[in-house]
Parts: sequence; C-alpha cells; structure tokens
Amino acid sequence: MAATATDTERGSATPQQAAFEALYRSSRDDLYSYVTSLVRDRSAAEDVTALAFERAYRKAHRFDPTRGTRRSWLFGIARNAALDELRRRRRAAELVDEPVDEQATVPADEAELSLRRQVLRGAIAELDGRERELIALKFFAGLSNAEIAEVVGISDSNAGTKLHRTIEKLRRACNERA
Amino acid sequence: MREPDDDAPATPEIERDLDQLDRLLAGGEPAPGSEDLALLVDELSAERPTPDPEWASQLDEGVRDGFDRPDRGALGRLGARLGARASLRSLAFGGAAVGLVVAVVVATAVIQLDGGPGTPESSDTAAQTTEATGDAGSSAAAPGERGGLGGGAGGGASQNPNALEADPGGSTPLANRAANRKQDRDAQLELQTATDEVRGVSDRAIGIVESSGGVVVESTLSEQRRRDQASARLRLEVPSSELDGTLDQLTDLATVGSLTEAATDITEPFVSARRRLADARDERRSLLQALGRADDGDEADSLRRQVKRARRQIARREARFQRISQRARTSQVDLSISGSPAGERDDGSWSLSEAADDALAILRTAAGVLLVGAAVLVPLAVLAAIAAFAYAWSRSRLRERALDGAD
Repeated sequence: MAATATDTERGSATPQQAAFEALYRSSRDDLYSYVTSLVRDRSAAEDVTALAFERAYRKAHRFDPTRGTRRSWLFGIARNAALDELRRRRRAAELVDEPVDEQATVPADEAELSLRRQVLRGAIAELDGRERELIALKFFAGLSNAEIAEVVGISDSNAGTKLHRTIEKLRRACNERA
Repeated sequence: MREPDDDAPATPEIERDLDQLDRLLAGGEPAPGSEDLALLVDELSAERPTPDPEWASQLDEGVRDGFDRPDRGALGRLGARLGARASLRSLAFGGAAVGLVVAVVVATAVIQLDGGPGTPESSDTAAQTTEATGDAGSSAAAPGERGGLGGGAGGGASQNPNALEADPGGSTPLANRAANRKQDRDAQLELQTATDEVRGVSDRAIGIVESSGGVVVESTLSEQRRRDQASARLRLEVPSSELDGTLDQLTDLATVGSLTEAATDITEPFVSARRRLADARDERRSLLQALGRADDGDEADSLRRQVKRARRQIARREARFQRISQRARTSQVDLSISGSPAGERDDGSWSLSEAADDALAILRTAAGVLLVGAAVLVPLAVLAAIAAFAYAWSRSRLRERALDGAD
C-alpha cells in the first residue's frame, strides 16, 4: 500500500521534509518487511519500523551522501533499532509461530504451493541470522548489492559472495526436499 | 564501517548469477537453466511480510505531522521506546561545557591564590621586596610591616660596652630579648617620576634624611635634556630608629618602583665584641695592679711591655666594637630616582601607557585562564572521546551478537 498524500503534495513542505517524505513513501513497506524478518514479531516490527522512521526524520541533517544512498542510510538505522529490540527481548521467535500473511495471493494448486511454501520456510528457518538478513534485504526490501553492503557493513564483493552462497543454500534445500 | 574481506572475491560465475537474480527481481525472463532460481525468487517474494493497513495509516499520519503526536496507537508505544536518552553528541557537548566551567573556576582560584598583577609579594623575616603598584601615595609595604624588621632594637644602641646588661639568649624573657636585639638594616628604594621633577624629588629626599638625623654619604644627579631623561642616586645613612619613618616619607615623594629592605641580626657579634673589649680592659687593669706591686726591675719592665700590648689590644677591640655599634645604630638607604618623558605624575589621571599596561595585564590573565582551562579541558575531552568510542564499539559488538543469537 502506498503512503498517502503528504505535505509535499499539498505544497507546504520544506525541501528536507519533502526528501524525507519521498523516502518514506518509497521505503515504508520494504522497511517493514525487512524489520519483520529480523525481529520475527509483527507487533515489535511495527514499533521498530516507526522508530526507525522517527529517528531518520530527526537525524535527516546527518545524512552524508558520500557514505551511501538515502535508502541504505535508512535501512542502517532500522537495522540498529531491530538489533536493539532483539537485545531487549533476548529470544529468537520461530518462523513457524508467525501468523499467516492473509494478503498473499492464493495460487490455483493450493496443495502443491503449500508443500513448496513449507519446504521454503523450513529452509529459511535453517539459515542463521545474518543469512536471513541478506535474504530480507535482497528479496523483501529490494536493495542492491552495494546498498546491502552499506547496511551490513561489509564490502560489495563480500556482500555479493555471501548472498550467492545463501541463495545456493536455499536452492539446494528446496531441490532436496522437493 | 566496513569489515575487511574475509571471503574470496566474487568469481565470474557468481557475478553472472547475481546479475541473473537482479534481472529476475526486476521482472525479467529467466535465462536457460535458471528456472529454479526464478521459482525461488517468486516464492521468496510471496513470503514477503506486508504491513497492517491500519498501522500503516497511523504511521502515514505521524509522518505528515512530523511525529508530533506520539500517543496514538503504535506511535504511542514509540514515545515510550524513545525514552530520554541523550545523544552522544549532546553528552559530549555537555561534558565539554561543564569541563570549561570547571576549568575557568579552577584557573581563577589558582590566580587568586598566587596573586594577580600588582598584588604585593609576601614578605619574609629577612627581606621585603615590593613591586610598583601605582601612584606615589600608595606604598605596598606599610609602615607596620617594615617595623617588624626593626623590632624596636634597631637604633639607640649604647656605646658603653657595660650598658647592655641583659643576656640576649638563655633565660631572659622574650620581650627583653627582642628589645636588646641588634640589627644591621639597610634598604634599596627606587622612585619613578617625570624627568623634570627628578632634581626636586632628590632635594626633598635629602631634606627628609637630614631632618631625621641622617646624612647623605654620596649623591649623583644625571640629566640628559636631549633625550628628556634624568636620574639621581643617593646613598643615605639614617639612624636605625628613624629608618621606618624616613622610608615612609621617601615613598611619598614619587611612584615607588621597588623597595627592598634587609635586616641582619648582629646581636651575637655585638655582645662578643663587647665582652672581648671588657676582657682586654680587665687584663690591663690586672697588669697595672701587678706593675704596682712589682719589686724587681726586670719584672716591672716585663709588666710594662705587657701593659703596652694590652693597650694595643684594647684599641683594636674598641675599634671593632665601635664598628659593630655603628652598624646597629645607623642604616644605609640606597635611593635611586629615575625620570621618564611620560612621567609618573600623581595627578589621578589614567594615561594611555597605564591603560595599555592594564590592558596587557588583563590579556595576560585571560591567556592564563584559557591555558589552564585547556590543560583541564583537553584531558577531559580525550577521556570523553575514548569513552564515546568504547561505547560505540561495545554497542556495535552487542548488536552483531544479538543478530547471531537470533538463529
């Protein structure tokens, strides 16, 4: 769902506000998806996502374009907030405990899809936290490899290699179980 | 901060697969042999969590309002999570401000304790030196302070070796001991005045000394009209009992550049010289008595020779006693008077040079405060920076451990 009309569209925002609102509109759902993958709790993910946007709003003046894109900067803020939440809770939620996403489309062959989904979810559950994070950043948030590297704090080459390794792990797991 | 590469760089195959992945994520067609990757992309995309519409709507409103209304739904919980923790930067600035205030207070206290410009130095019992403080009317060393050196025994020393009955040491009460002390006192005084007033000040100084019963031992006056400079040097001798009063009057003549007083206790040499003189006289008396009883001419001649030697000895010891008595009885004052074109007139005005001197003193004080403040602040800032770095590093490590613990 796209973000609703803001001050920018009403013509009353400052340039800084307009830039933030544009970032918000393009990143809200992606950020939520990424944070949910980290904290694995919808309620906590909502709080952390809102907190991340609040911090980005307050610290907008600190953004340095020489250090990366605005999206990677925002996702870096969200990452820290999510990890702080994990530290506070000090527990790992199992993926199987997450409620089913009722907005997902329902394919025609529900039995086959259900089996494949379970296989995939099982494979994802076997990934470690860092590997799940890479999957979330690439597939849920749509970040480029360079942006992923900036968020996680590794080199571009390292990010690509780790991502490839993780995807291969999922492919093997899905092919073995299928 | 980027971690160093601990994996091998991406191979061409990896690069090809990643490019294929990006193409699939952008909605492109899979390359031959990549159908399973395309399927994986579709299924992972379908697993993407989506936000609750109501929550999303509330967040939209919060963004529109600039996050000014935190107590609405999820944003209400957000306000509790934010807390009151100040940013590191605010803490650093606050710490620096506190450090600066502490530094200023400490520096001011240090300067007050050491004494600022123009504050008289502390005196010791042997000598007093006073810096110039302003007009001729103010003397940094008050008469009462100088009087401590005199002790009431500086002058009026008797020339009769038998007059000093009290023993300066031992069992004599403290008051009697102080009264019977003998001191050799002298002073050096420097006065500053206008060039054309040097001669007048010199003449008035001589008048003061003569009225106190003193004498001018030596005087020199130098005047250089072309350079508008003049100076005078006077070597004065005044009764020790009049020294304090004389110095008081002399310091009133012009601006005091410096005043140094010294006192040496000569009680022991005085008493010793007196005793030795008395012993010599006693010996002569004994010899004269023996001479009167002498029967033999040879004995009489011998005694006469001894009497002669005794008289010579008495003369030497009398001279020595007189010298020591003179040192206790009178005090030497070296007076120098210097004149300059600007002059040190005591007319109550504040000249440009005085203003410049005062401004310089203020700048020196300010520089001292800043220097001491920096000496306190810099280590605090270094400590704060180290603490901030350690905190940031520790927090980063803990966050990464939280991610590892989320397996």
